[in-house]
This record gives sequence, C-alpha cells and structure tokens, in this order.
Amino acid sequence: MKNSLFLILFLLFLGPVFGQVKKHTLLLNTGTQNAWERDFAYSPLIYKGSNAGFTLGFSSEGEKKTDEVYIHYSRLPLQSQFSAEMKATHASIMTYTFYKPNWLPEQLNLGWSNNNALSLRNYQDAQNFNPRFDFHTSFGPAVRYQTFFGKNQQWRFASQAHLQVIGFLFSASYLTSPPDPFLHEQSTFNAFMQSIRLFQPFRQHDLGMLNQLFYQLSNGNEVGIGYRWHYTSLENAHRSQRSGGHYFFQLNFKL
Amino acid sequence: MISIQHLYRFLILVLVLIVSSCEEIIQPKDPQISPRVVFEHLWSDIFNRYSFFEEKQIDWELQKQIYEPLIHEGLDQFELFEILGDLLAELEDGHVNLLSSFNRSRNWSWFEDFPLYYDEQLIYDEYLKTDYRIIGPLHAQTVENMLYVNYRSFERTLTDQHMDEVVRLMQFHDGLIIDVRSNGGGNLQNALNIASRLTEKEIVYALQRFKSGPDRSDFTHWSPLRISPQSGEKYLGKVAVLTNRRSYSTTTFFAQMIKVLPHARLFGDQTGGGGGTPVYAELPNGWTYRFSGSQTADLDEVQLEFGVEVDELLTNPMDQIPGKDHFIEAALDWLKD
Repeated sequence: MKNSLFLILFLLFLGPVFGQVKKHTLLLNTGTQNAWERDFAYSPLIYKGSNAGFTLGFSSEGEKKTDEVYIHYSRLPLQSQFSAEMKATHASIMTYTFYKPNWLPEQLNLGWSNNNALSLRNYQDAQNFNPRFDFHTSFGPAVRYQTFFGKNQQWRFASQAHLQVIGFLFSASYLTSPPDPFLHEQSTFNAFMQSIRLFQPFRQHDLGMLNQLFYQLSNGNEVGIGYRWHYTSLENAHRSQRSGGHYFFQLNFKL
Repeated sequence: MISIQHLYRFLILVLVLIVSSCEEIIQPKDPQISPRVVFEHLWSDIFNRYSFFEEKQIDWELQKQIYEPLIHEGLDQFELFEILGDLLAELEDGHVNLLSSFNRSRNWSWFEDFPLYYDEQLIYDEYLKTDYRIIGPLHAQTVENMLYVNYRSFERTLTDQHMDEVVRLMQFHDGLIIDVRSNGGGNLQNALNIASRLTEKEIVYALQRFKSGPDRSDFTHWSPLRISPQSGEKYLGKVAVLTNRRSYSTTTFFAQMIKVLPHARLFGDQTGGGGGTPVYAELPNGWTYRFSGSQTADLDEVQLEFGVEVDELLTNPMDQIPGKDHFIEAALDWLKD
C-alpha cells in the first residue's frame, strides 16, 4: 500500500514533465549529509551528526522551461553536546520549475519551487510520544544560474536557490506524537483536515541552495559533485528547526 | 578578455567554497547552562504543560517564589539537582522525576505513607509454594480450586499465548484471582491483553484528555478508553483483583478496567493513582525530566490520578488473619460464594 502511494505520488510529480518533448535526464547521487536539528517540544539543545544521504532525481529541459524533481532520503544518528541520542529521518520530494525569459541573461533562470518534506525525530530518552514529526508542503520562488565552460564546453556549473513562503504544515501536537484532532474519535480525514496549519510567511521558513559541477562524458551522460543545503524552521504547537548540508557525487543519465 | 573569463570562473568557485557548510554557519548556539537558566526552563515548562495544577490545588507561581531565591550561580550540579528535585516533589506525582547521570529525584508519598499489606515471602510460602506455574511474567497456582495469578510488573510483556494458557487453565478452576499489589505499572497494552479476555463486548472504561496549550483550561476533548474483546478464547466467570497503594500508573488503569467489568471485583486498598501519561523533556544542561501531561478519569469524570477505590476495602487491622494473606482469603470467600 505504502509503495503504491509512493509510486502514485512520484508519477504525479513526473506527469507534467513527461508531457513535453524535452531533454530528459535521470540523476542519482549519494554522499555525506551533515545535519543539526532542534525540537523545542523536547529540548532546547541542538542535536547534530552525519550519515549517508541519497537522492533520486529527474530533469526535463526545454528551450524555455526546465522541470526538476528530487527525492531525498536520509537517516541520521544525531547527538546533543551531552551525548544524548536522537534518530532523525528526513524524506522529501522537491520540485523546481525554471523559465528562461528573453530579458534575462542566458545563464540565469527564474521560477518556483515546491517542497514536500517529512522529518521524524526519535529521542532515545523519551519513552512516550516518540517520534515527534513535521510534514510540510510549501511553495516559493527559485532562481538558477548555469554556465558551461572548458575547451568543448564539457564542464557545467549550476547553482540554484529557493525560498518558500506559503504552504501548509502538519505536525506533532503540544504533547503527543499525533496531532490533537487524532486523539478523539472522528474520521481520519476530518482529523487530518483539522490538523493542518498554514505555512505562514516569515514565521515558517524553508530555504535552500544546490551547487553542482558536472563533466560531460562522450556519451552525453554527466558525472559531477555537488553540495545541497537546506534550512527549515516551523512553528506549530512548538518550534522546530533543522538544517543539513549534503556533499555528494552524482551521475546524470541522459534518457 | 580571457583573463576576465578566468577571473569570473575563479570567483564562482570561490563562491561555491563560501556557501559550503552553510548548515554549520547558521547553526544556533545551545542555551547557557547556568543554574538560573536551567531553573527557569524547568519551572516554565512545568507551568505550561503539567496537567494537574487545578486538581491538586498547587500554586506553581508560589513555588517559584519559594525556590528561585535558592538559585545562584555558585551552585554545583549536586546542589542544583537537589533544589530542582525538591521543586518537582511539590507536585506529589509518581510520574514526575528529574533524571541525571548521578540520581533520580522522586516523590513516593503516594505509597510510602500507607501500609501495603503485601508480604511476598508469605505469598510464596503459603499460596504459590514451589511448584507454581511460570506463564511468561505471571506466577500461577491453584488455591482452593481457584487460579491465583501474581503479576509483578506491567513492564514485563504479556502475550496472547500467555493469556491463552490462563484461559485454558480456567476450564479446571472455579474462579480467578489476579494479584497486582505493588505492581508499579508499565505498558498499558499488557493490561488490555488481560481485560480483553474477560469481556464479550466492547466496554468504555475511562476517559482521557491531553494538555493542548499553556492555559490551565487548555485540554483536548475527553475521549473514551475502551476494552475491545479479544477474538480468541475468553474467561467470563468471576474475577477478583487485589490492589494496594503501590499499584500505580498502568495498574491503576487496570483496576479501572476491572471496576467496569460486571463479574469482576476489586479487593484490598485503593490504588496509588498515576492517571497522567508521562511526557519526557530535556533541560539545557542535559538532565531529563518527566511529568504528567494528560488526565484520565472514570466515567463520572473522577480523576484516576488519586487512585481507584476498591469494591471491598480491607485496610482495617481487624481484617488481618495471622499466617494468611487476608486479601487473598477475602477474594477466595467471594469466589466460593
């Protein structure tokens, strides 16, 4: 059931992309992810650590428009300065849509982005109401700079950033893991609808950046390295914050 | 022109390096670890999220006035721990503790001030003897054709297979005694695993609500807690459950389940309480603490925090029988009746 839902969501995100005649690329990356996280419902302390992170992505590039989808997953053993432990699980589906208006320099694209991110926090010392969680869906503007260089223009550097300001939030309650509407008897749908909060500009933040350097092989595929950074600050019953930097090695397969 | 292009790309690479490790650059600092900061954090969190101030008539702001003057920057960790432990003890709640690597504060007045009427040596010598059955966490023995079952802690897992065996044994017995005296609680599911074998229909046994905000009246709606009958074999005969003041937390919930079952009866002394679900949190200095964050009440909205009354109170010194456990004897008499 979970796998089917995942596939449907994935296809939904890819649908608009496949619908156009464009240059399609499948991308895979892995590398070290450094992260810190803080949930004031449990502790004012920062928990930090690192582990491997994975991304599966797809891009569709046309003359005037580029669509990108990235699915990230990481599971991180984090520690406070007092060696208390927390297991953090991060999963997200991030999309970018960039446009190339004539009035902008060729290297610069403007567009928008959407992030659908889940964070689970399992504190070792908390015997009840574990894990705490946040899920948010947010939208906002994005910008990309891309340039080619080298003797045969085989090198490509791309840097893109996003700042998300609207959307909605679904997260753990004042005390318990499930949001309060799930604690009394009513349909799951009603409880879910009552649990959703607006993602308010300047009160909630989701911002990030992706820098990548690629070398194009003779078959058109690319190998590269990159750094992805994100910062999220959410406020519902309590404030939670997290940030991560993912240093990765990436393969791009031309489809 | 070429040199300008090289400079341009060099600047890009420098920029890449600059923006690397952003997560470390923007990482906030941990709060200070001074005694005042730690005290303020603990006092405030309890003020906002503890669930029984009104029921216990505790003025938490008054407690701040009493304890805050004791806090100064020269306190060592042991002195600070003692003051914070004393502050939390004012809540008189077995689900409230401060935990450090060197101690755990507690207030056990809910059982320490009362006789427990539970002599383990007597029970093993007179009732369980040496050939008792060990069914997972349960010790069971036939006593005057009744099955006597002793359950020391709901922390020890009771499976469906264990209950299958208890129900099977009931074919050969006339009644069931479940002894949960001095059982300090544990996993509520273990209590439900027993109760779900003692009923054929779903029964609401209590109501529960959780703190939902910092105001005294910020609670979720009361929601029913239910016993749902297990699909396997059941025992629907008479059940006597023995409790004392040290029967706490999940054991109080279990006593409340027994209270609503029509063919079951509670014997002994009221339970110690523990109707609030413990919430865990951490202080700026790394110590952890827990506190009650919910309320549980019976169907008349009487708080379980103060214990569940028994059907047959046996705390009168005249009830005691030399060389016998008078709780078990009273239960045997009722089952034979």
